[in-house]
Amino acid sequence: MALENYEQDMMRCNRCSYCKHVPHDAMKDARFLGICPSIEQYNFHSRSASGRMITALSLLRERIDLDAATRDIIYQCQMCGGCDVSCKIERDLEPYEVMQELRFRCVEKGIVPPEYLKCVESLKRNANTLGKSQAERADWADGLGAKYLGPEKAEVLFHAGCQYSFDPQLRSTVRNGLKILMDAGIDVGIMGKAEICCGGQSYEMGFKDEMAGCARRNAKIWKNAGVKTVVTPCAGCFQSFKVLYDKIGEETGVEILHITEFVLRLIQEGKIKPTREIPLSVTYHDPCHLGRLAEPWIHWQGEVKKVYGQMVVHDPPKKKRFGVHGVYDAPREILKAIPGLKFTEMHRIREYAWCCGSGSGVKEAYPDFAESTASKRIEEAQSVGADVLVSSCPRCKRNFEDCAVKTGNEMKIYDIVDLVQLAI
Amino acid sequence: MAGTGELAMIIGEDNVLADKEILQEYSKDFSFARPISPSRIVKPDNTKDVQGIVRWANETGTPLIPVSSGTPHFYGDTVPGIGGACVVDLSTMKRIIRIDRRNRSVMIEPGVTFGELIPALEKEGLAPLMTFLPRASKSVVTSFLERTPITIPRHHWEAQDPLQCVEVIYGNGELMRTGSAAGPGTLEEQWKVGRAQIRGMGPSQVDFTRLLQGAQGTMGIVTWATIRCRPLPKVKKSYLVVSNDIKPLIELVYKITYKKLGEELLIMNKTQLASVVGKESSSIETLNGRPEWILYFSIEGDGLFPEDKVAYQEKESIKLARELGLELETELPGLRAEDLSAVLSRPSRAPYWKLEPKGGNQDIFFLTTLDRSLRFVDMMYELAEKYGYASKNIGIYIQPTIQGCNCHLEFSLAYNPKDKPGADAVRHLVTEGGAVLAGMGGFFSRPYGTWSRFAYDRKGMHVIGQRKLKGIFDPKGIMNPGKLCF
Amino acid sequence: MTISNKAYKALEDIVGPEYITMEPADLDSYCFVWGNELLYGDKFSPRPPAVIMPENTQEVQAIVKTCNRFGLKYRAHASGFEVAALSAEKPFIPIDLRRMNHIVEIDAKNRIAVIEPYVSQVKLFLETRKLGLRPNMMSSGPSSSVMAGTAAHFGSGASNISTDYGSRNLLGVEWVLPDGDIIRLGSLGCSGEWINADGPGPSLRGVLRGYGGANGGNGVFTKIATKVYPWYGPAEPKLTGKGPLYQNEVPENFEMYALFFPSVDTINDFNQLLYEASIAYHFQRFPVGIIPAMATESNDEFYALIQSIPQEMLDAIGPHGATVALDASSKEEMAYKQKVFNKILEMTQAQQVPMDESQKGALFNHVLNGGGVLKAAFRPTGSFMITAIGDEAMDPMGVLGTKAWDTIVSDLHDSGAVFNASPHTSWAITYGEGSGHVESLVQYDPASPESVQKTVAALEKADHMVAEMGLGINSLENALSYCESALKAAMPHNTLDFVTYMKMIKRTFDPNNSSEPAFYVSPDEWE
Repeated sequence: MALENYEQDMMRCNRCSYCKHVPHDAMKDARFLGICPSIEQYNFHSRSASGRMITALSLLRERIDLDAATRDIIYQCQMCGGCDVSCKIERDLEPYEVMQELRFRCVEKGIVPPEYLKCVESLKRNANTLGKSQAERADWADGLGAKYLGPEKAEVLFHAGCQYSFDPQLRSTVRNGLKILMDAGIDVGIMGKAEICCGGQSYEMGFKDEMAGCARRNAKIWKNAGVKTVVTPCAGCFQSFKVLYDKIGEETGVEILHITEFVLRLIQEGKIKPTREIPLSVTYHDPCHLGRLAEPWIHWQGEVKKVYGQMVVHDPPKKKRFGVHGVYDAPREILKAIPGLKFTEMHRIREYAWCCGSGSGVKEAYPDFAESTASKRIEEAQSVGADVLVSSCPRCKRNFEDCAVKTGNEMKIYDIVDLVQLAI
Repeated sequence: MAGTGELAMIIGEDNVLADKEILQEYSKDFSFARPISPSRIVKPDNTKDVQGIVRWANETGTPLIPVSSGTPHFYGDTVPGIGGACVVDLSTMKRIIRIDRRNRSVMIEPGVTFGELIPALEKEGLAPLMTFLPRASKSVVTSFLERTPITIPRHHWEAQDPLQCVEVIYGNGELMRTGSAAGPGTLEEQWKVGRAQIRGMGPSQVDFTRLLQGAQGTMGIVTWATIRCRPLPKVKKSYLVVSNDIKPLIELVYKITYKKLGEELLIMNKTQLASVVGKESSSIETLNGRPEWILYFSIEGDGLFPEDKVAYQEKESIKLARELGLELETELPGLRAEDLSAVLSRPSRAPYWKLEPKGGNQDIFFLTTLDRSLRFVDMMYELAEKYGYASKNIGIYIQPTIQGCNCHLEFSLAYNPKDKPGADAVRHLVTEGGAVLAGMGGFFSRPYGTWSRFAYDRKGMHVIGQRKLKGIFDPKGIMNPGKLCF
Repeated sequence: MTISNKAYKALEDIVGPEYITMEPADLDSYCFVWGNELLYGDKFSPRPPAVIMPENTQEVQAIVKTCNRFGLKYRAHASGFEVAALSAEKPFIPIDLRRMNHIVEIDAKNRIAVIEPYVSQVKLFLETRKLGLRPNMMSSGPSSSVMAGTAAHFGSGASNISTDYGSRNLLGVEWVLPDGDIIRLGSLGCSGEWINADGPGPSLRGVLRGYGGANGGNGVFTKIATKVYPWYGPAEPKLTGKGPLYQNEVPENFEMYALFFPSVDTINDFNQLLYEASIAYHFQRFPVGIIPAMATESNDEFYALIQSIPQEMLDAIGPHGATVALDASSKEEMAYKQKVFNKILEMTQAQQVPMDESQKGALFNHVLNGGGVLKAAFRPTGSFMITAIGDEAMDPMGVLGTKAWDTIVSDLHDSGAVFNASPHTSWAITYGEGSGHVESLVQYDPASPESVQKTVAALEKADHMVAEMGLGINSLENALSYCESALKAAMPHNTLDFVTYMKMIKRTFDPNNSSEPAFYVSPDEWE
């Protein structure tokens, strides 16, 4: 749908500011009520979902130009989806889709942060957004004895993702992820150098055609590889495969799982036994792309009509996506299964979790913003007495670690896969 | 005298008094305000009279001193601050205009006293919200215009209570009705549609009622007011709680108000209690030591299942008291709680209970919070010693207000007016002592007499603001000049 | 209004470049709020020349003084959730108080909380409940600013029966006057303590606001003290449900009811009896359809639910509904309250609407923090507005809702220009001091020109209706006034004097007319 199609939503925004906060009924601690990193950082109302709905209307009405200042308003946002959850609790609006359409419009007009152009350029040339060489894509798996699909076959494809493929500091985590599956006797392989980007980050940046290209290619790769299941340790890739590809109509024909879902299965089937005590005080950060953004896409076709005079309804009825059906329980069950761990929830969790700060190209284009967002999350982790902040997404881990180092914070950052590996 | 004829035309000759003896009665009171004789006394009968008087005063530049209560007076606010003033005595405006049981409100003229109001309300199934043993001649309207606290903190939601709307003739001679009484329509038209002049805020975005409260008649003359009442209790039980140490009593007040129990709730020291009931303090045997403290508390049931209400609240209150090592008593040696209740439910014995011990009295009172009151009590004893006032004569009354968020702390200083050293001691306590207490944080929200010298903020912002208001409502400055900051 | 470079620089020097903007895209988010289309014929009211965001009182004062110096108009807001916060016929500089969001102190003993402007009622409740306390809860929702409800705007809500009207809880103010001086009202200025805002002498709190607040037209409030009330529930929220219909565990010592009555007289009687019994924690009069609205995820679900209810049942329930919550600090207290309550139900022919757990949970959330109001008021059509408003004795307020329906709203319903599933959509509450407040609501679609147009016509009719029937002075009371001449025409002569005095006060306290008065009173003489 084009931006114009959401004009009525824009006009029906009432500027209640709920998009800035955790759903009120779920609020627990007065220090941690915000859900929108953008407004917390930049403060002006334009930096909220409501503000961007208003910006969209202003653009449609030609009250403002799509210039650098407007671009920053649009892009100083991780597209974490928190605003969408909070808004939809009370309203039938689609602020996230409006913000996404704004980005598509920016790309159409060529008004994007220059850093994003580099990402997309890299994607086109090297099938990754990090400016790395395709040739180095599989270096992370050296020495693991992994099956390389194409020449070999397997039921399960382990898709590492760009971040895990190229970030040397995250290498141990991705290797642990594959090892866990291999050691559990799973028939799993990797695409190696043939693996390409999921395209998800590019989509969020507004480059929908590029993402569509990735989707087509991945679907073909998987078909050719004959895999039945794609498992990934990257929350971003998971969300792209599971949700975005479905959204744009790309049918892959495979089961998509995040590694936490897969690992939980293995634990439940007894194929993995976490028996070693890990005496750590931990809390869990729900990655946006594993959580609220990973809720399955709901396709709907029908008519918007009015009943009882002016009440806006859908025919047929349309289910709303609240972010509730993301992957929340699997990571938690895993943590509960690891002996010795003391697990405490943070105040903002599940579909109303605070973002790590790095999403949607913010880490690339607005690094201070990414860092400050992460620091607030680390502060929240400390507030519940945790020594370790556990996540299940490479970008979350990277951003938290960078922030901790830069700010001298002693909070340890683990990926859940690392804890599992330690426990088995 | 110039002007008398004009006044006589407005309100009738019989209502303009210039007899020297009468003037002398109005020239002074029990305060230490310098006696200044008014030039005449006028006694209006109705709003039109009052408006005529105020307009005349504007034309002639005559200061007006509104007085609604009969004697004795104590605060100096009714003593002319300058010569040539005309006292507007509203004490004969005694109409109880309307009692509204459904909305628990009464509309009365300024001369109505508690003694007159109580039986009238009773007939309609209502009871007033009483102040602490007011004198028989005390105007109900003035009590609440001056923000005198009521003895039932649960009904005291905020400082304006229980005053609702008023009709006022401002110092500029214009008539105004405040709050929801402003309109639209006349009072009769409002009554016809069921409106009852019970919302004192406003109208609109200025709180005109509030601008008159605490003003000591410096903004205008109120000609009627609506006052919130309470349903007449069907069942009532009263209690006394004694303690040598006031701290647990204060804690008990916090707990009672937190659980929203009961109705009347106040603390006195033994000296004050004795004066209230008109006995010598030695006839009331309580605990040894000084000072002894008494908390008075009542529970009323008025509507549905009143006995049930009293029963469960009594049980809860006893439990709260016992947690603090206290007991709710219905009787002490020498005093029954219900007798005290009867005393506090009516106006004072004439002329006034505070004059009975020694013939004269001055009060020092201000707002604070219950937990802060102790330090003021301690300081008061120090000041008494400094100025040579016998501490055993200090009557202390602590009234929780605003549902327990604040309290009105009052020291009553009985003295013999003929005893100069004694009177001087009291004068020093009231003036210099008051300043010390203000310096410690006592909020003199009702700054009578010399208190206005220290009650205002040092930056003068309240003064500036109030003078701006004065400029609007009384541009010629005829209303009670010399009071407050005017 | 334009802003010169010099003026902009002067303002920028106060807050730093990060906290002031002239970017059109930023500015447009400060002239857009629900209701604009009714007042200005457009979603956008005139664009401000700049927006500024101070951090503390000193910065606010400096901003106000600078605006006075340069002849600029300003108006402060907290959440900015209403036209009274953000909109005007002519541009002004919005002062966004978002950064002033601290709870300064909570005196639990004396039940007084001191807060900055951006503190929301849900935030304050989260902190006070740990101490066994709660603030007044406006029914404008949990994100509403406590200060707006207490000092600056309006404070009505369903908790008022136990927490009184918002402004009557004001115990202190730090106030930057329109010309930039600072007054600390009452005890704060005199003894330095946050105890009481009235005095010494005549209370300037009466200038600060009346029944309605000044809506930014009278300077800026930078801190207030508000009374807080006993809370007998748990110290921390206990979330039991999952999103989107989050549920908070209903404590044992709370009971909730949804009721309907056969007539306006019986609900009026109920109102009086409930008030006099002093047993309620929460009370509002509203068609009980509010509860399904709050307990559904979407309009689609709400529509399906309404469709599933037989018409006979809807007719039987009728328009006279109420929700009530009781709380108690002990079992004995609850036993007494329930006995009284049941008797009142019997005396007033009240019927209870059965609620399933999800609906009870939704109602409890609403009781706790005003939540769900957007679902009920905004979600159906996109927006709502109040036509007739009344504030006085409870009985005529009960009648006002019916009269508004009969004379204005029913036609609007019949025209299909507003949401018309539920007749008599008026909402009423009762204050602790015994008076009542009623709003007759219409839900219109801001994206539909016809819906907007017909709603505007209804607003104008309502101004006249309320004054002509002698039931009040409608929107001028509650500061939704935007056109003085229209209101003058709506009011009979003998209610005009207060406006003259208000103008004199405005001129006296704001000689430069710097504090933008679109929802206060202009200093200009009546035409």
